[in-house]
Amino acid sequence: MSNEQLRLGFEGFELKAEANVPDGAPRPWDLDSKLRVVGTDVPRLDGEDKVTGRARYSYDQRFPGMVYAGILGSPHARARVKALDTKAAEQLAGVLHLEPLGDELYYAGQPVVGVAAVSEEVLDDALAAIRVDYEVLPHVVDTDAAMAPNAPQAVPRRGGDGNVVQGRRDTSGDGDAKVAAAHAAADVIVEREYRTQVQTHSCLETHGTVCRWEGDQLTCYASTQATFAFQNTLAQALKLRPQNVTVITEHMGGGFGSKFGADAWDVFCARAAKATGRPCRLMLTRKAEHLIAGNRPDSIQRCTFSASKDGKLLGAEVHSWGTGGVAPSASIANPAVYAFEAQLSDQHHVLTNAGAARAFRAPAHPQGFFALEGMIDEVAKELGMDPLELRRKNDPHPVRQRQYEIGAEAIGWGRRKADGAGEGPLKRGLGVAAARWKHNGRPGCSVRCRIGKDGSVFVASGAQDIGTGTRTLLALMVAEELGLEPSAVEVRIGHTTDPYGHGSGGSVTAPSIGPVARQAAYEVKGQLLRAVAERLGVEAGALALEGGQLTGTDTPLPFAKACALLPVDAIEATGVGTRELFSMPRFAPEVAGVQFAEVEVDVETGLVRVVKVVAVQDCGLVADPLLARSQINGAVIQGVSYALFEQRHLDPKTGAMLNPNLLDYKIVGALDVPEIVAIPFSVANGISTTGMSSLGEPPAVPTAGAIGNAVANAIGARVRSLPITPDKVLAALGEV
Amino acid sequence: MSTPEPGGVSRRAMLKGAGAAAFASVLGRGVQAQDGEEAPAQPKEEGLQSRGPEAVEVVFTLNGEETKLVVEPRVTLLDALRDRVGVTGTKRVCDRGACGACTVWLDGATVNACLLLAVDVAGAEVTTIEGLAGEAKLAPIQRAFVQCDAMQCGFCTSGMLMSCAALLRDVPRPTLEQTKHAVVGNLCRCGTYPHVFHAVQEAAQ
Amino acid sequence: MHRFAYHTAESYSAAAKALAKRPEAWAKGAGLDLLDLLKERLIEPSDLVSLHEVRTPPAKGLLPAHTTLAELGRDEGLAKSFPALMQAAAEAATPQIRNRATLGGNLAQHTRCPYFRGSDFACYKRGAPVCSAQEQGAFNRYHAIFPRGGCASAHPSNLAPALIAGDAIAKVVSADGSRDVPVAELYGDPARGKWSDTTLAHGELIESVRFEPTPLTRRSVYKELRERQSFDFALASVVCALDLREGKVHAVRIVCGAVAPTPYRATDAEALLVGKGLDEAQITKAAAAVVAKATPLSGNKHKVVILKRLVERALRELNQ
Repeated sequence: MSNEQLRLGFEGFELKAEANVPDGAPRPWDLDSKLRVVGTDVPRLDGEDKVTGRARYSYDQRFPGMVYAGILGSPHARARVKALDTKAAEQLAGVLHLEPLGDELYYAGQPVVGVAAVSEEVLDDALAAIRVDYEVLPHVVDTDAAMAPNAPQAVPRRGGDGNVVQGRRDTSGDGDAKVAAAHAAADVIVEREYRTQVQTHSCLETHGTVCRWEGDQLTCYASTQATFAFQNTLAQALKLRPQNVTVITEHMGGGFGSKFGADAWDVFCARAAKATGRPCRLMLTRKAEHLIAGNRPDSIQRCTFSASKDGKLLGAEVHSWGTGGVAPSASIANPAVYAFEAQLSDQHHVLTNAGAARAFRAPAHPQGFFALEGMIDEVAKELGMDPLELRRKNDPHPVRQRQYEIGAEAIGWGRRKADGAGEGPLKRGLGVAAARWKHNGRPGCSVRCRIGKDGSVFVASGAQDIGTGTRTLLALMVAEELGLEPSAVEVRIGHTTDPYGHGSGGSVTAPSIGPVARQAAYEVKGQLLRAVAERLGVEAGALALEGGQLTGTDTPLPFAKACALLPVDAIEATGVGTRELFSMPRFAPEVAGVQFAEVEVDVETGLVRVVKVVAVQDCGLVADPLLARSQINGAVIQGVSYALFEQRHLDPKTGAMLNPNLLDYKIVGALDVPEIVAIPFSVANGISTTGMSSLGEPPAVPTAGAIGNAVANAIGARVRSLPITPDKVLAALGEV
Repeated sequence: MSTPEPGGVSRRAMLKGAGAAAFASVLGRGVQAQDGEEAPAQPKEEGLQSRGPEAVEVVFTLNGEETKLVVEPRVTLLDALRDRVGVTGTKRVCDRGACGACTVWLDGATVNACLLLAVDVAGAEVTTIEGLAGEAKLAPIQRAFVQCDAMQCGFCTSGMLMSCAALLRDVPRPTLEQTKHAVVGNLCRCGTYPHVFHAVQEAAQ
Repeated sequence: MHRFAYHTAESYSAAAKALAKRPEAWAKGAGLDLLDLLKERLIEPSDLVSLHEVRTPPAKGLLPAHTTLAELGRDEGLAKSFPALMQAAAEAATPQIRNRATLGGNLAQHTRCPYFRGSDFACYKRGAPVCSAQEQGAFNRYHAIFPRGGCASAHPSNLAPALIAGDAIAKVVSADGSRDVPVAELYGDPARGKWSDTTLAHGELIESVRFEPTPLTRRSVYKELRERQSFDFALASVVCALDLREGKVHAVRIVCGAVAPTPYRATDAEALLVGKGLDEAQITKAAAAVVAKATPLSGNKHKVVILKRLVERALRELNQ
């Protein structure tokens, strides 16, 4: 261990900290580090493959004799299979394998039968030819209806009756009494109900896999955001050792939290491949994707916030309910961020007959923050205070304080008018909301880095790149250490035969794998310098790699020439993410962001248009601002989509989904995109040797909240439910 | 890249050149009975070409090369390209013409391949992402996409590029509004739109 | 999709004859609407008769049914002679769809109602005894505010309201010959088991549409409101056409889309305007008259407000 003095923070707010750096690890990056490629706009390494169509995704894999599998999903929200007649299907020419998959059915789309056939067309015929005699049972798909006293039991449960399952109950301090006391002492108390809708991930690439057996060795080209989780869960389900399963995911078409372990249909695909003796492809249809591949739960949030007349936030109490379908999984991040004297979050999961929720970009947060940020604005209104001022008074995060300044300037907060001001019919409004996330970099990954005698540099991680740019990140870390251009680094990702990396959930990947890639490059650099020093008869300590060269000798050597001096064909190091690498001092307890939204509302028709969003986002040290802006843009756009358009509509009578496609399930398209000013706000955050932190999710947190606030400012009335569609705006204005 | 079959026939070429008589001579492919039976002689219906439901031959030009397919009439161009011919750059996402991930050019016009029957492209020119650059390594718009980071997961990218390239071909200096309208049929879940717009501006220089 | 025999017609009359011989066959234009029904397996006809290669020679004042929405949307002549028709085509759907979607197909397309389009649901048009959209608690945000004939679907065509406003006439061909049908008469009351909104019998095909450029068509506008500005069907739409002479309304057409099972012509509102000057007060009265007889469903009262506003804006714009 050695001690290093680090300078952390950002310009105008710096912190000196002492770090214990493990032996053999590089000096952590901080404000003093002069970085060459890290922190610059580097186009992603797989860009060319993606723009030419050469990038191979799971369903692009083709093998001789490959068969096509699919599932028949239940048309009913709740049913039991009384009789299954698959004779006609099995007799169709080209149907090779058929298996029942479930007979006690709890949601529309739940797999009933799996089929594999020689073509997609024969598969389609087979699925259509299956006759199922269902006993249709009472269902409940609506959250409010499921909460009612005599609602049908959606799914059996232990330890209770009915569909309402108690979730987390967090209280600060002495709990309920403290919150009650805070409210009692308040000058202003606001009590409201906010609601948000069920949102489906709508990844463009649906779930599924291509499976290929060679003896007892299974290779799976899976559309997953967690290659090793997929490997382990699939192996378990097939009663294999993980070593018998290789997952390969070099490219995947979006996950957003819905694609981790192997699903029942993936296991069926593997079984079908085994049974037929042929490679098998199973790709969910778009309808099935909406129904059974996950969603963000809805929410009903009954909030009571209080404050003193000088703008000090006192009590925050939130009782929430939400449905995660058949899974008791509807957490809410509310209250959060602001320094209330006392807070209480009492959460409930409501069981319904719908597909289970899955983690969806910043789980619990967009829902929670729509209500949280709306409530903060409503308290500000009661106090007669500017809502930005109220936030600044009660937000302890030093980064966010600076971000409020930057964002307010960029959006022109000074232009903000009184609520509902203006002639109409087009009225504009401004709103603000905060983002938070944990620093989710964690130990446990490994990365291998090899330098060849020919000067080639190769880095490998078995983890995946879900579109965030992991490939490019690995190249950047290595290039920075070796003094090379990122294009000189060859990267392989996505093969589970390569070193372990975490699944991409929680925005862990970049902060977890970055330091480890750097470590691997640092170690192999050491090996190279020592080998060259010995060969040249100089001190290794005098040598360095910079600008594509080895320096410290009489004349600098081009990198490749230095490598030619190696006594072996290649040298290699595997960086390991030890606890010590992640134990550097940290600057701020959490990642911070703010977003400001400007909307224009047509008060005659209720139509909302988001004009502009300014997003100031901290993610620790920014490795590649170009890719960081892409992440921020993407999160903001999903937030606009969530705020204005998306909703899963389930027909109460049948429980089936009314909009299981990409026309009636509306996601933002080119004409709905606001002007986005994405400002990656670099903070030397410490924590690890790279000082990088989480980015994928934090900017998804505040967008709907900021838009909700902007709409309220524009029209002088508040819509407390998402999505903010014209009918709700007109209702809020008393037009309907 | 094609399924070799003897005597490929371009029906459209025949129609263009030789008129009704030649067209009539192509009839007789008629509707065949299933299970290998010989169909009873069908009276010829004037002005009607009947094929299928069994697989039929389709000849068309794909990225400049003559390509022959043998597919049932119900197979879409999208599935034919991906699963038979093996050009997989065009993606299947919604299969209902709502998302544009399957955008290809049909005689130079952007269309959704999922809503096009393969048999309907006989005699036509189909261009996919693989053929966009022609002889060059990358078309200017492809290069601009890379430089401007106009892709994330990349799944919408092929379709996006086909729409952007068609725009730039027809409108060399498009405005932001024109760009948005040109890609309004290309959905992106990762949110690459701002960088796509930027890439179009860059490529237009 | 199921397996089907595929018959490609060389002409509309050949297609009509082929359909007459095959009572269960479906006609196909570009097939954009049809493929959606086939992929959902809502229909499984053993034969399709395709018009996709039929081309009728161009003639003045005649729009062949195979004209694509893209062609209509770029038509410079139409921009002057009938701007509402051009606007309705130019803004529809997406470029990919407009490049293939035909005028004939647009007029004949089926409703987007999710109860109609989803095989999981009972639908009055598809033969069920009740209309799911009108059931207690149903999802009907996008449905008709003038339901009738037991159906609450919203008519999806952008072009039909424009052509009706322009007094256009369709040439309909069948195995027995051809007849002229005013576009307004192409649409009839919904009925249980009647899939199509058109009055066309099996084997009848739209060959072309023609309209006379008049002061009405020349001074026309198309307005719609979508929830999502990118590809979306209208919540409500209206075509207004105005013939103003010496400051008085000589003739006016107000035809609404997406608010009834067929295009909805607001004759009461038109009558109110004719013979008088057009000012803000008249515009407000007329717009109110358009929706006076609306009977919205539980979830779509907002469409009444929105349609009213669209009519006001359309008339205001034409009055300038």
